[in-house]
Amino acid sequence: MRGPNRAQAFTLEGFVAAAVVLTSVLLALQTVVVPPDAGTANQDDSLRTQTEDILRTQASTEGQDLTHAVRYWDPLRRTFAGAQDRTVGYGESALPADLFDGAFERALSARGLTYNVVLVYHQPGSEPMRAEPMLYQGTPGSDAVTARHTVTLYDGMTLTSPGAGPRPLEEYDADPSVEGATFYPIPDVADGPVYNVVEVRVTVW
Amino acid sequence: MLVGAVAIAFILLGLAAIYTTQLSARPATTGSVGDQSAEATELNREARRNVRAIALRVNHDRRYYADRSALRDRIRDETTDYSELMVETYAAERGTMVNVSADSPAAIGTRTTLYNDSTLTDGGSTTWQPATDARIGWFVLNLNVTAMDRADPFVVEIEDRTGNDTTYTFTRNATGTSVVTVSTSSETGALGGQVTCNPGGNRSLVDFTTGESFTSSCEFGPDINDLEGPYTVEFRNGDNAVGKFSIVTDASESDWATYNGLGTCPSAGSEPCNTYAAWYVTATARYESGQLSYNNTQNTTVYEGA
Repeated sequence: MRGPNRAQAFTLEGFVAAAVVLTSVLLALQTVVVPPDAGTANQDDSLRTQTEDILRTQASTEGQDLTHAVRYWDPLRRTFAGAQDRTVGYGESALPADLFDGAFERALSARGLTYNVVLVYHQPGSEPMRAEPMLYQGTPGSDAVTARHTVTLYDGMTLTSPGAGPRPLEEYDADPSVEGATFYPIPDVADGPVYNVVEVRVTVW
Repeated sequence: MLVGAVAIAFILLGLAAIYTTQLSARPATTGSVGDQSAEATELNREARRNVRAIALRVNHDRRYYADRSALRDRIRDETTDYSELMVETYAAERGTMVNVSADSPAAIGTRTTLYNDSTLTDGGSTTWQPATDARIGWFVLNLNVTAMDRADPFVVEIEDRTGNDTTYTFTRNATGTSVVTVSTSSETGALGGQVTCNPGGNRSLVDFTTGESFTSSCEFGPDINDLEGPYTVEFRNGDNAVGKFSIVTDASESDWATYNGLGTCPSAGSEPCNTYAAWYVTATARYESGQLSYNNTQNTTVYEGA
């Protein structure tokens, strides 16, 4: 094979070689699997960390710690102070600025994120733990993350809602069916100075 | 050329396989251990905070403790109750095992108390010292204002580390509704002043460590947190005041004879008297998960700022 025929063979080989390389590049790109934590999961971790940081910061705030929000209950309306009802708490409305120092509004709502705040507390005896929604905005999405923080209430603490008065927690009744009782849903579950241990659970999506 | 292209293709496919394997192997483990580490650290912080809070309440919610072991056992038992609630909370959702315990108090101080309404004397003298040369963690007067004589002052004098005196004068108003005027002067250079504190009911509760009244919004200064210990407290004209009081210091039981000369509660007719109060407590926090085991023991002061 000489002259033009040989040149044509080289050209053809060049095209075939280029096709092989291009095909291998395409195959390699399709073979690479992007694992879930490389994108979404890292964002989820970051969101959970931010939410946990808010809870921890609030828990260590002098004078108005996380228990302030847990005790922000109106015993006459039988809801959190200013809330819609016991089913959704503050529901679609914003949390009062007095709660969590407005941190969730700034860090989550301002970014278009939705979140629920639920208080999970103990019941007397061996009954399972129960939840009281403080802010329920709907069923969490599949990409939701949850941050938790545990706080301890003591017998001598008082409710923090405006006008709640100086009555200590141990003098409230946790049974809403008792006529005329001053009602607070979280019961006294210990004989000593500890009143209850409450988990503040924030789910963000 | 074709042979070279085939070789390059194999290399590219090999690199892709390695890259995928590496990334797939990386996830979850590092993040979850980090989360658990943060959770264990937070548990440790909560344990310290709450063992301290429990000890503080145990110190004050009984009139007296007959001996040191009664106080120690009570702190341990109440902490165990708290720990059981924490165990249930953590096990329910996080699947981790936690435990918080209070060991023997690292230091037991003295609570000097008058727990039935009486004049603020030591049983005889109207001028006397309920605490000498000690650090103060708690100092609260609970005055029965309507039982006090009008316009006759009762004086509390606190001498600080440098020997400077700060004087607090309590006077029920001479006429009108019963309120207490608190006048303060200090040799430390701190500004004194005069405030009127309304009682709640007929009681006026005054906290010297923060310079506040629990029963009204009045504030006075300097308070004990503004001064430098150790301190000596003197009551003057104790027969002009009626009520209760409680002072907790770091004085140990062996010093009681020279500390204020009062008897041990509950000797008959011995009010005011000395009893025990936890000054430092030892808290241990344990956290166990499949990936992390954490255990920390720490001493913490019961009275912050003391």
